[in-house]
Amino acid sequence: VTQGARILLFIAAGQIVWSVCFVVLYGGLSLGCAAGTEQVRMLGTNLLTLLLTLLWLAHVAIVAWLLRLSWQRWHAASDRPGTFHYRTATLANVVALAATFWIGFPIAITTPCT
Amino acid sequence: VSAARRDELEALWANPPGWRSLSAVNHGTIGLRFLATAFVYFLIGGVLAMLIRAQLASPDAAFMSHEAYNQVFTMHGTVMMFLFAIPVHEGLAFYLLPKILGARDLAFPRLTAFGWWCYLFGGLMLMGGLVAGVAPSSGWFMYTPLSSGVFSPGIGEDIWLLGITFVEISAVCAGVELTVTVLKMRAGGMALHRMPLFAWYVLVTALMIVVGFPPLILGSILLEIERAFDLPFFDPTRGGHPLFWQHLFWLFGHPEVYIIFLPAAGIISTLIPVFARRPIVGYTWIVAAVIATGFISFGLWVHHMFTVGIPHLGLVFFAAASMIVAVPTAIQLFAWIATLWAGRPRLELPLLYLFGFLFVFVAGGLTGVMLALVPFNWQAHDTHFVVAHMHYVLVGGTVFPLLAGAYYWLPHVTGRMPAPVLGTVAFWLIFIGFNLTFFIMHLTGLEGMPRRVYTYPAGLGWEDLNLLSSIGGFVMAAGFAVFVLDMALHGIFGRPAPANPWSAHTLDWAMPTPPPVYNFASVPHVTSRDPLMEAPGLRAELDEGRHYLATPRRGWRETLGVDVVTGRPDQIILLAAPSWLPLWAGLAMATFFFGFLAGLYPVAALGALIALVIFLKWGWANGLRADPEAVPAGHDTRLLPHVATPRPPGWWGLLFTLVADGAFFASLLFGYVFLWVVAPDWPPPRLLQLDPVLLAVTLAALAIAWLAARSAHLGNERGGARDSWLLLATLAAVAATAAFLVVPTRLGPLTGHAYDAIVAVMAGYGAFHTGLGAIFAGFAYLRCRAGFVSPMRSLDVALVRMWWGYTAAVGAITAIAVHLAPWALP
Repeated sequence: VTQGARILLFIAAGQIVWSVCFVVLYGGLSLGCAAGTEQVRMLGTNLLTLLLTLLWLAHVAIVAWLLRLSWQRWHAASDRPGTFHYRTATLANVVALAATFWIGFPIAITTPCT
Repeated sequence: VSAARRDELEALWANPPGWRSLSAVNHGTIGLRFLATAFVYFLIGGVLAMLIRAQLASPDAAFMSHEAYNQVFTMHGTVMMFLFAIPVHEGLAFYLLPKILGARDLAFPRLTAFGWWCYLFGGLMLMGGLVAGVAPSSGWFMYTPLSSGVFSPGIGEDIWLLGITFVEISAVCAGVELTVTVLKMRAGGMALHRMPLFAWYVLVTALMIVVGFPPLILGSILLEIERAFDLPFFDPTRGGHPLFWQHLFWLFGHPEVYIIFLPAAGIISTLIPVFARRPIVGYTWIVAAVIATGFISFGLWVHHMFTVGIPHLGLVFFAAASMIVAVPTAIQLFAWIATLWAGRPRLELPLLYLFGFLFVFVAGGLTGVMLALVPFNWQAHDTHFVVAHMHYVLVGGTVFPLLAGAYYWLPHVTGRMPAPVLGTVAFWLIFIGFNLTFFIMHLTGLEGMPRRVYTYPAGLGWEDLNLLSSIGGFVMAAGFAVFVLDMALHGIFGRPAPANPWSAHTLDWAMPTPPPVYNFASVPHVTSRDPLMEAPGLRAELDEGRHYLATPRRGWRETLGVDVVTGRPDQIILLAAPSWLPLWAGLAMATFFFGFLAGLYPVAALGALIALVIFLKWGWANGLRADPEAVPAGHDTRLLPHVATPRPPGWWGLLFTLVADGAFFASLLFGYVFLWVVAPDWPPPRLLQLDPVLLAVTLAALAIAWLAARSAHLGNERGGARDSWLLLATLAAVAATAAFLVVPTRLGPLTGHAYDAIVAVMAGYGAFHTGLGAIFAGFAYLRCRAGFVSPMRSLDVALVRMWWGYTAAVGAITAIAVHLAPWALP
């Protein structure tokens, strides 16, 4: 992997995790409903809601970690290019964190398979 | 640069004269051809729109039959979306990108030309259907089962599927080419943080094309196979599912809205600072917003399918994403407003059109947020409200910025200034006509008027509104007629443009207008994001040859290759001269598509074979037969030609081609799982019997081919064994191909159930890639023997290695999915 690819991937990392989260939640919902996992009760809710919530929170945590990382690198950057790369990554990660949180929170308040 | 040197550059880069200019590959020429072709298609689409409005102007109208109306509205949407909106932005990027980046051409000039031929021929296929009265009539999203052979038995839908696929080959080529150009072909010193915003927009858009178009290409191929050979991918009576088509279409279709909008936003971000007379506010914010928009726009596609019966939670995911995509879009809008606010704006013609954009697009965005709300969407679905929203977004988001861009870059193309009078008249006619036409559709839509009805009875309260809407449509058409007149008169009477007439900041104005075919007499070195603002004398420096690559040598068409991040020059890219190969390849592809349309499958196969031979000849012409030395490139730099560097443009080109291929494969895999989980009559009555030997042979052949390709590359770098590894890779590839081809022979009748059909397609995908892998490895072997490859010139073997890394991975997934998934899926 070249340095260029590394930096571009770092800038887009939060958005990539958001995309993965989206696919995992929508795909997991479809497969979970087909497998009947919403019929299984667990911890006061159903297994599918529980699994989707855990998957969602895991992605939120990853994006939050990426945001922290890019923020730290932005403030540690000593040159103009570095500042640009990590500031851009931070801003993109803020949007990614908001988007990841926003698409997933209805899991906890909506029935999954109706 | 002395007159002699300028003549030398001109002779080196010139297009052939007369009819031989059809072999031109120069980005300026091809870009203008794209723009002109797209504008002709736009006018045709506009005439179709007028026919629609004439029909709907009064109740119970008999101006058109319902069959003709269906063809007209289908072709209006198809022409505007596929033949105008996307190619016009490709054309603008082709024309402008090298100039704004400080390069002399695009990364793959022959590919640019090939893309235009595909676009032209594919468009002509659709136009031919229209003229012959057999145009497609199932709507521009071609929903099954209406578009299936049972309900649309003619060739209209085949014309759509084949013609659009042909055009989309052009789009994917453009996506790859523009991506590589932005990453590798910039002015010296143009680091990422100094890149013009237009290039950022083009980069994100190009990557979206690379990922977004393959799902529709797959869908079109599957639907055409279903129509031609009766394999039931979308037929619910045989294990298929109509929603599979809708998913594939909208997986492409919604990102496509942003594929159309983002380059237009790139125009806006380029023009606003010029007319605000200050640098853009929030450059970094805009870059981050564009990247975020590119990603989030892929999470919206199901909002076109809110009424099809998907679980509520699934709808909420897409509703949420549809709302939050407004955030990065709004960031850009606020940055533009802030730039105007903080600057000293001067209201010239291009800015007038941008104000039109701001008003219309914001209105369209607001109704977009309304439609993202599931309950409202259910009410407004398939009504004229959606038609109104869509046109506010698309016309506001792309046509107004394009018109602004047309007036802005007109002096660049022709060397003449636009006259403000006709342009202003055209603006007000278009603006008033547009809002009269489409604002009213919100009202007819809310009153329940469905879209796609060819007429309506009197007494529903829609008569006056529709008449007003039609009057507005004709006012808008008059505006575009004035625009065309303005363009024509401008070419004759426009006053000569001074140098940099708008006092722009970007490199596209650091050249004479009209521009010379080589763009820059010397390739610039920049130290700022706004080079002409920082160094107004830059153009003179370039003309005097004080920057890179000022002296032509050895008949090479040279431009600078740079490091992706820092913009530090790292190679001299040698570009292709005019060639007939793109035209021949386009004709061969046309033979394939027209042969398929006519049901002449041997002719189609012959066309594909000829195309393959032409592409191999194309590849054979590349490279050098001896190791080059580093040569002076200017600014005390010595550089190697790209063929002697480890990461030349061809390496990046294959990388992004494989990204597109991966999107295609992921869509196919999605289809397999989707049908299994969602479609009726699954599991199928008969499954592929597990054959551990066949699976083991497939996996082993894939692994051997990949390891052999890898060893050939490493061996070449170390000066060790290479050719024998390539031969081994070829043999293993042939074995893997045979193993994949066995699979369809062990299935039931391919027309019997969607399971057999889609497994056969997956095996075909595997065989296609391993087969091509055999040809590529054999081709690289011959290139090695012919002296094109050395430890320094390793591109051929590097490409084979990359191809096999991908093919081994997706081949293994395919083999496991085909052989083992029946035992794992519910």
